[in-house]
Order: sequence, then structure tokens, then C-alpha cells
Amino acid sequence: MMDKSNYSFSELELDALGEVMNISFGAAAADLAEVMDIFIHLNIPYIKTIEVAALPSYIREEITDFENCNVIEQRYHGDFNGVALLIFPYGTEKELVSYFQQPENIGYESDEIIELEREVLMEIGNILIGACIGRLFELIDSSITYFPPNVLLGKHLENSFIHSYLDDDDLSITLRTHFSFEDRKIDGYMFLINSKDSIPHLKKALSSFLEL
Amino acid sequence: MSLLIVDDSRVARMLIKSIITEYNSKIPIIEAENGEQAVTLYRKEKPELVFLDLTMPVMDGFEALNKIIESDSKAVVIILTADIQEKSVARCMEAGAYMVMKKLPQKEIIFKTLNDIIDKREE
Repeated sequence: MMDKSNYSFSELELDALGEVMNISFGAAAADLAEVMDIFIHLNIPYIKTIEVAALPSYIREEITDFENCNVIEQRYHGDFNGVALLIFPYGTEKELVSYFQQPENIGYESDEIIELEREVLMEIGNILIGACIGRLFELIDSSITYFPPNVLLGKHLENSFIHSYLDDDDLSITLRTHFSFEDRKIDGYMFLINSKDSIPHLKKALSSFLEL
Repeated sequence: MSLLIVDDSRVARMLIKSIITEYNSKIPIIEAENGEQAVTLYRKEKPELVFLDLTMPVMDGFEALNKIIESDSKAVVIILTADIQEKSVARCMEAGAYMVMKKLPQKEIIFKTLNDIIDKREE
């Protein structure tokens, strides 16, 4: 097993990672704002290294009623292996649909509405996650491939990714950003969780970034 | 020329500082980590140019920009930000920003902007 001291990031590296996340999410938010004709209030990204086993409780602490939250999960692999999670609290899916729904479409059956909500979440996830990760890995000159996104409830998240490809004792690097839509009370969170295998490459990439 | 760089990220400040130093190593540079510090430093030091981030703790860049322009309507403030939404850019320009630049800072654009500002000042 890799010495865990190798996982530690200097203050400067964490700052650089925060700045890279800030730039990447800013670009993603601008794309979404254009598509939806909204204004997204951005907050300062927060970076934390955390053991995979502690991730679910960490995310639960951050988000109210996490069990019922909508989670758009998109895995990626390549120079980095990890997962992006875009999380919207329960109930916001209906608000989000209203941004896309045309008046003539009102009157769907309930199962159609559920499907529509899922599609809207997938589309928003696709735009935000795709643009954010794309920009982030471009900034640190790295290449990744995406798996298709998946929408699930918070309570299913643990089984979805924790046991599938991350070991419990892996240290992950978690980048969290919180955002909100100005004209409606919709809050969202994005987490990028990278496996320990990604850390040496990440440190090398950050070193190059700092030499810009 | 004197310059104030405002960003909560030390790395972001380092990146812009290295470009400015390459442009002219004699330009005095002062730094602030948030909008509140920026407003205080601006009033005290009266720098000729400010590079201001938007997303910051304590006081964000929008509020700091308003306060700086309020205290000096001729302040030259360049917004250097990751928040490149059209509405953010419009809000900054309406508040009196000189221009809005997208992060990462590009050396050529910064050099050209500094030249333009110096030329205007000498006119």
C-alpha cells in the first residue's frame, strides 16, 4: 500500500487546485447560464482529502436530507480515475423542469413527469459536469474519458460507487463547490472525487500549473 | 504606476503578479485577500490600477467594485474572474469596471491592456 504521507498536499497545491476548480466551474456555469437564461451565484470551492469510507457521511453532513437528494453521477478514467457528483436537494427537480418545459407540454401523466425530471437532471449534469471536468483537466494538461452519467437518489449513492471501484481505505481528493440559481431557491453541489491512483499525477500536473 | 491585486487565492495572485513583473519589475504591487481588505487598501494607497476577483470570502468582488468606484469614480478596476456569465460581466461594466478578463490571465492581453492604460494616462 502507498505511504499515506505521499497523499498530503501542500497549502500551495491545495490553493492551486481550488483555483483550477474555480475557473473550471465558472466556465461550466457560464455554459449552463446561457442555455437556461439564468444567473448562477458561485461560491468559493472547498478542497479536502478524505478516506473513501468516510465519504458518504461527509457528503451527508454537507447536504440536508441527502437520502432523498437527486444525484447525477458521472465516472471518468484516464490520467485520473474518479467520479463527479452533481447534487440537487429533493424537490428541486420540479423547479428545474420548469426552466425547460414549454406551456403546451404541461399536463403530462405522472410517470412522464418523472421521466422528464430525470432527463432534465441528466441534461444539466451533462452540461455542468462535462464543461467543468473538461476545463479542469485541460488546465492541468491531462486526458480523461467519461462514462455515461447516471441519475440516482442519495440513499443509493453508497452502493453505487463506494464498492464499485474505490477501496474503503483509499484517500480521495474531494473538490466541492456550492452554487445557487439567483431567481429561484435552487441550491446545488458538485463533488469531484478522485481515487488515490490519481494523486501522483495530480501533484505533477499542479506543479506544472504553478510554473505557468 | 502602482497596482493592487485582489484574490482570495494565493496562486491566482502569484500568476498575475508574475505577468506584471515580467511587464515591468519596478511596478509596486500590493495585495488583498478579499473585497473588504481591497476597499481599505484602495482608500489608503490609491493604486492606479486594480485587478479584482469576484468570488471571494468576507466581501465579494461585486461589492468591493461598487465601494471602490463610490470612493473614486476614476478608479481603474480590471475584473479578473472565473465567473464569465454574461450577467456578471454586464453587472461589472455597469458598476464602472474598466474591463472584465477571463481567468487564467493571458500575458498578451495583460500587456496590451497595461499599454492602453498607460497611453490613456499620458494623453
